[in-house]
Formats: sequence, C-alpha cells, structure tokens
Amino acid sequence: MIRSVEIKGLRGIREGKLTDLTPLVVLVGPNGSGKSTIIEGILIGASPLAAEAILQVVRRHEAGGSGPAWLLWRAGEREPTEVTVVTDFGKPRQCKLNLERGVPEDQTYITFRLFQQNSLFASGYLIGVKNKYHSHQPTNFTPLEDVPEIHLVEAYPANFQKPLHELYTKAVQNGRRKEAIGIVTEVFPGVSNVEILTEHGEPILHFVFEDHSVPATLAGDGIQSLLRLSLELAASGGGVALLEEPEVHQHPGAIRQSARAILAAVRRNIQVILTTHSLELIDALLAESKDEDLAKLSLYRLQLKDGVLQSSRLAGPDVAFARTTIEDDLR
Amino acid sequence: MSESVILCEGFHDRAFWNGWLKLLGCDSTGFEPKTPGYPAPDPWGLPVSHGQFAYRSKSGRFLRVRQCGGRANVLPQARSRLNQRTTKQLLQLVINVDVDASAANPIAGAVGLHRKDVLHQVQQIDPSAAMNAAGEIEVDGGATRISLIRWEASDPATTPGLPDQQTLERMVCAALAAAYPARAAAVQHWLNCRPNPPQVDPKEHAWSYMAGWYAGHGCEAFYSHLWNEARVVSELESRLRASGAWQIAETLAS
Repeated sequence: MIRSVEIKGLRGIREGKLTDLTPLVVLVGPNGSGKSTIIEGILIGASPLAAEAILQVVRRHEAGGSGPAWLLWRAGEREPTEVTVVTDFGKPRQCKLNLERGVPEDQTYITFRLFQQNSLFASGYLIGVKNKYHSHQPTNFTPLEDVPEIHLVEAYPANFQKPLHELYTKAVQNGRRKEAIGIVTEVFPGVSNVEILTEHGEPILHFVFEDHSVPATLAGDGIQSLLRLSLELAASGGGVALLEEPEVHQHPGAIRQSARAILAAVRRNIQVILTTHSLELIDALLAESKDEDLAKLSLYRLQLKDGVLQSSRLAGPDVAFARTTIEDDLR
Repeated sequence: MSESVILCEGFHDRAFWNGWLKLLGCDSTGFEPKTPGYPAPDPWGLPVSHGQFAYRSKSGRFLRVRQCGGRANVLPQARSRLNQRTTKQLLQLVINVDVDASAANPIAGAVGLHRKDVLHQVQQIDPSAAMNAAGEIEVDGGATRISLIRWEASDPATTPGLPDQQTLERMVCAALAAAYPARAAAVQHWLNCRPNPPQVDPKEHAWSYMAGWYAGHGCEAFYSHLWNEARVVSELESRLRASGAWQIAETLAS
C-alpha cells in the first residue's frame, strides 16, 4: 500500500506531500486544488510502466492542444520534476522528469529516470511532435513492492482505457462476475445479465434483457461509468486503483452502488485513492462502511497556494462524525 | 479566505447570538432566507446550510454560528473544525457552553467546561497551543485564537423568577427580572401555583416569560428579540461584560 506521495514540479503543484495514506483515501477540495495532479503523480511514481503512465497523463490533458511540456510545473522552465512514493515497506521510489532543451520548436522531449532507494534503476523518454507521441520505456517491468498493479479509472470513455469486454473477462477469471454484474443490474431496470457477444467477429459487451440485448456502450453515461468502475475494481488483482470523480453522471442510487464496489475492493486489499466533489459519494461510503472500514478511511482536503500544496487530514471516524453528526460540508 | 466560528450548544443559543450579533452591527443579508442574495455562499463557495447562521462583520469578515446539538458535541466539533484549519483558515473559534452548575450550591470547578479543559483538547491538535494574557488560546502561533464563553449569571439564587441551573436561560431570566421585576415575580408566582409541577426544568422560567411576550413567534424569536428591548439589553450587557463575553462578541463583530 502507498503510504505517502511527494511531488515537486508536476502540473500545478510546485511542491507538496501527502502522508499517512490509508487503504481508502478520499481527496476533496475546490477546482484547481491539485486533486487530479496527486492522482497522476501517484500513477507516474508507482507505475511499473513509467512511460505508459506518463503518456496516459499527457493524453488526459491534450484535448485543449497543450503539449506534454505542461505536464511539468511551468512547462519545465523552473524546478525539475520529482515524484516520490513510499509504500508500507518504507522504500522510496522516485521518478525524475526533465524537459530536454535544444529540440525543434514543434517537439517536446521529456526524459525520465527511476530511482529505488536513491539508486538509479531505469530511464526512458517521451517525445511529442504535434500531439503524436513516441516513448521509450525500460525493458525491466519493476512493480513497487506491495503494489503489483496500479490503474487510473476514468468515469468517461478514453482511448487508453481497457475495453469493457477485457475487464469483464478478467473479472470472471478472478471469480467476481456476480459482484461486478450485480452492481449494474441493481440500478439498470430490466437488465438480467451481462455477456460478451460478437459483432463482425469483434467481442462486444452487451446488456442482456429478457427478449433482447444491447451493447453496453449504448447505455447512458451514468450506467457506463458505473459499469466501468465495477468491472475495473472486480478485474483488479490487487495494488492501487485511482478513481477520478467516480460519481460523474451518476444518479444517487448509482453512487450508492459505486460506494459498495469501492468498499468491496478495499476489503480485498486494493488501495483506492479517489477524488470527488460529491457529498453524496462521501455519505454513501460512510453509510456502506462498517467500523473496520472506517479505520481504513482518510479524507484530505486540498488547496494550492502559489503552487504549494496544503492539506487537512481527517481520519475515518472523524469523517463520520463530521458528516453524520454535525453535517459538515467537507468539500 | 477565512472565517470565525461560534460553536454553541443548541438552537436557543444560536437565536440569542443572532440577536446579539445584529445588535453589534453584523449583517446576515444573503445568508438569511428572504434577504437579497440568498443563499449566499461561504468564503469557499459552499452553501451555509444544516442550521448554520452566517454574517458579515462590520469590516466584512465572514462569521458562522453553528449549533452543535448539545454540549457533548461542542468539543468534538471544535476539534473537527481545527483539523481543517490548514485549508479553511480559521481566525477565531468561540466555544460557547452552559456552566450548568447550581447557583444555590456552586461547586467551584466541578461542573462545566473550563479554559484548561479546552486548552488540553487543543494541545492534542497543536502541542504548541498556549493561553495568552487575554485568556484566549492561541493556535499556530496566534493565527487561530480560541475563546470560551460560559453562560452564567451571578444574580443571587433567591431572586424570584430565575432558574437555579447556570444556563443561557438563567442569564436571560436574570436580565428580564432585573429589567422588569414585577414580571419576574409574576412568573415565579405562576410557577409556584402549579398544582402538580413536573420535575424542575432550567427552561421553565424562560418559557413562562416567553408565553406572555413573544408567544406568537416561537422560542427562537424570543431569544433573538430580547435584543430589541433596551432595558433588557442593558441588563444582558452588564452580565456579559462581567464574564468577558461581551468583549469577545465585539471583537467578532468588528
């Protein structure tokens, strides 16, 4: 489990650190407070495939035409970028990113070096030319101790996400078909099952009704985000799941199901670190939690001041008191 | 972005603070239903909801009053708010409770919450927290100040029309009795005349005054509208100055 993350010079965070992370971490705060950057920093710092993680983060922000240089604080013109994560084993892993100078104007060249306990063990690079990327990553696949997998789960479809049928297959292989499907069928009236069918030889995940079926991708955004969340968590064999605003598009009933899926994953020793603006999601997590779940919960309220990350931390029982006893707006 | 917060025990305390803060110049426009701009957000863009009252002080600072649903919740709520001070700057925190001791048989230090109790709790959050010369607890080197206000009135226990227990109600009744002695005598007479009185309740005197005064508005209006009566205000002020509460409220409202 990841216990702390320290970031220097990544996107809007000039410097900041979160410590005492727990199996279920909820990040709240206003827009622009650094929540997404924390999630992305953890992905870059803890991923066994650093180049892939860096590329995923770059692609999340390319829609506005911004180049990969903006992954670095003030486009890499100031301090070097460093992300350090520490797990239960106490051995820090560090990813250092540098913007290389002297490349043609329409190109961005970012190199990265990975350190384990201050010893360099791998390096690679990312070259961006007009939003086309080429990366080289170390051949040695080196997961962090105690973090065999790390996934960033998006609520909306993105081209770097795993196809739903692959997630479903993995969930079934992990023996969690009923868990994953039950969450969806409970909020989607009439759906009795989920199955992989083929269309033109391609596997497509379908929602099965009594007398017909439809591709899952035709369902509403809320159903799709709930399906992806439940499948991603059910398919995960351990490690860390990073969830960016899982409540997006969801009705309160679906949010409650999302909370169940999240807690089920935490109980299987998957560390879940999520961002949210939703009191309904926080309340649903509390309502679905037992005392032992509360002990695994921590909530951080974030804010950025001149690029410096500030945080207030509440332990699970304090979150429960704040929401259920005094109805405090923790956002 | 910052705020000051008053944590009080219940709805009547909140109503009392409402009248008092407005008298001292605080403005609830936008935070109170049926006022222009309602519902105005707090400094962090969040709604002022769940029974909270909010004001702008005379200099424009944001002030929040929260009732905690009983004394047992006041300190935990203070701790919760202090734990969030890094990202929601807290200038001043007022912890407001009843003393609850008997006026007839006061046992010094035995009942109620004292500054040293609050300091002990606060030092678990900031070990460097300390009491300043004004009796406030300073957290983070004075960036946050914490004050304790205890409702009590030193009027003799034999005064007619006053409950025995040191509460908001006793202080209010003491001010009413001093302003209108004949009413106090009538209230006491009325209570004494009950054929089968229930167990003594510290609120029974205040409810009796209210019945003949603001019965049509409910008890919260009673505690707020006290501040519209010049004679009552004068008596409240003398008692609140004696306990140091008036000075704290003036600072909040400034």
